[in-house]
Amino acid sequence: MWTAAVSIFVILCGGAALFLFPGRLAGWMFTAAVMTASVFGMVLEGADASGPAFTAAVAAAAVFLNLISLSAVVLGVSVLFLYFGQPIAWIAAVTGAAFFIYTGAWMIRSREKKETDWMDFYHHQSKNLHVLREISLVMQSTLEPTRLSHIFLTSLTAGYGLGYNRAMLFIHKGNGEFYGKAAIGPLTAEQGYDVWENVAVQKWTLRDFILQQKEAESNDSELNSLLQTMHFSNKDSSILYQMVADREPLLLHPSSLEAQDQLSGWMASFSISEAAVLPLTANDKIIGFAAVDNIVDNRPITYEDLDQLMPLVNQAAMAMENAYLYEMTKSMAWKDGLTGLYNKRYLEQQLAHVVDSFSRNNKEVSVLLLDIDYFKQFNDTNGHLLGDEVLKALAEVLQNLSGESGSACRFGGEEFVLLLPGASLEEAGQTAEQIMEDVKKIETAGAASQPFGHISVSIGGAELRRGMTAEALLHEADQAAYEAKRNGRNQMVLHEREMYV
Amino acid sequence: MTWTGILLGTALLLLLQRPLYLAFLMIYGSILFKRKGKKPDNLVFSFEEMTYFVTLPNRSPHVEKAHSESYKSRTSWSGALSPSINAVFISICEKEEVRVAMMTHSRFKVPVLERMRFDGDVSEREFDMMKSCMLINRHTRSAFETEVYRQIHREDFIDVNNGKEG
Repeated sequence: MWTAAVSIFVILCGGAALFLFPGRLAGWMFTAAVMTASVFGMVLEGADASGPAFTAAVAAAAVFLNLISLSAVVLGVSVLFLYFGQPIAWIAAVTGAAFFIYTGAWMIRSREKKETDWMDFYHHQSKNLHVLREISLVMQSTLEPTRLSHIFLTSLTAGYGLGYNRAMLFIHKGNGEFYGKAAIGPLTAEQGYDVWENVAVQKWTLRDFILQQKEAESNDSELNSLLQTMHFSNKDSSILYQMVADREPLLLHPSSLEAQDQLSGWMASFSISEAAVLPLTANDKIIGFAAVDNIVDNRPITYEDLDQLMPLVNQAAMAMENAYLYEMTKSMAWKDGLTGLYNKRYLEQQLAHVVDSFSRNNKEVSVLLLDIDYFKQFNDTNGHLLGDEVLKALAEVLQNLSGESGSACRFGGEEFVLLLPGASLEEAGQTAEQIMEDVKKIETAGAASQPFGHISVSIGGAELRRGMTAEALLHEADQAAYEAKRNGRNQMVLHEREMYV
Repeated sequence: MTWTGILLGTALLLLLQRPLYLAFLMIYGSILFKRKGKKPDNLVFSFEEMTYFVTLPNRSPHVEKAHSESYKSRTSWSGALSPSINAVFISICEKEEVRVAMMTHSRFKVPVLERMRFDGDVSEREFDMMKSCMLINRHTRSAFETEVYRQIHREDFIDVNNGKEG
């Protein structure tokens, strides 16, 4: 019996050693000690007497070390006892088998959990990489801010993207003021399920979503209308203030916000239970922020998610900043600084495009060329500042009458051109009449002292015909305008068919 | 004799646990689908959460040139004593097997089933069973194989401007 006592003593010592010096080596030493003590016991006193002690010792060691093979040894020894007919071996058999099953199941479970964790980790990494790769390719293909916003929001929300249920974009207008710009996603969970089913039927990929900008805009119009009423200032939101100062993403819960924080109202308006707020930083300045939430499946957003989102957010921020700069440069290159109308450079480029399109589609194109009557006289009498006011007022008239497809351009000095794709010469004539009416109503100091008692213009119109060049079209309009001036000004002349007003 | 019987019975049970579970899944699953008035073949599901082990699109000759018929799916199991379906792996099986994609049970999304769970029409257990049925369904697996082939061979260029200047 002394062997059993020694074995129990060794187990207790070993347990204490493991507790005091945890580690693999201590575990192995403990296992070696209990096995030696038990085997000696069996040799000296017989299996029946020290068998249970051996079983208990080895099984305990196995549990300590999570070694299924040792548990298997316990089971094997126990079965041997059983077949040798030792009555005490029943207990050993049951104990060994129990330890075997417990340790085995525990090991398999822990291995499967590790596998699942790895699979999850791999899935996240691989998906992030795929999305980043795809989005970086797509973002390179456009410099249009609205399209870029759509691509960015789609990459956050599409299942083939990062899979958040909803994403919103806010733009920084300076001085810590943020405005809601665009959003993708449902307003309610129910709406989300409907959209999801539809998407699954269509089998849309990330690319399909990106190409379906118009459809997305119409699906999410309600959400966008609500978002575009949102306006925050970091003076009224400690969270925004913190984000702008730290430029770090934040995880928001309604409980983490003070009641007076503007973002509380935003979370309530959109039924947000949890959201990630991600700063868009480019060239060391905040250009806006994005927010994502999971209104449909309520999947929790973790800090790990924030880290995974940031590379995409940073890339999008850089692309959007570049697009805004490009738009600004383009506007400066194509627009007239005083009137805000397109300039001659733009007109030439646009005319070439329209003429090319005419030769393919045969759609009507007309041009109106305008000249302000007695403008030099007006400037000499009233000064250039008032002259500039007249130019701006006329620009506004033209802008209002140019329609969706038309372009109003300042041709130079007091000459303007209205390019009207899709308009016949007759329709252009009606527009010219309207221009003359509206110009008559321009109320500027000095207008009444003009020869006609008001500001007036002479207009020449021409229509594009097959085989005609852009230069020829402008030339015909110019000839007609000259004719109008020659005939006494304050009138319009349409090339080929003359009309006097 | 009794002990031998018990041992043999246990061994047999361990060996046949998966086929037995599969049979149970098919029978119980079809009862559940019938009760809800749905057919697994007709339900739409999404490929969005597929995990790929290769880059997309892929230009490695042994991946790119493999025929669509060589794309095979295989069920992956978990649980030693209580089996459950863990994932479906899609591999290219030619001279050697190349694992290209995986859809795990937890990430597999069937909107109709998700909606039923959201509305409380099915219990968590029923939801899991029905999803497992869908995952191992012949049509689903065939659709996975087709989708993986399509993604591997897709065009890398995307024209977001539809030919217009960006």
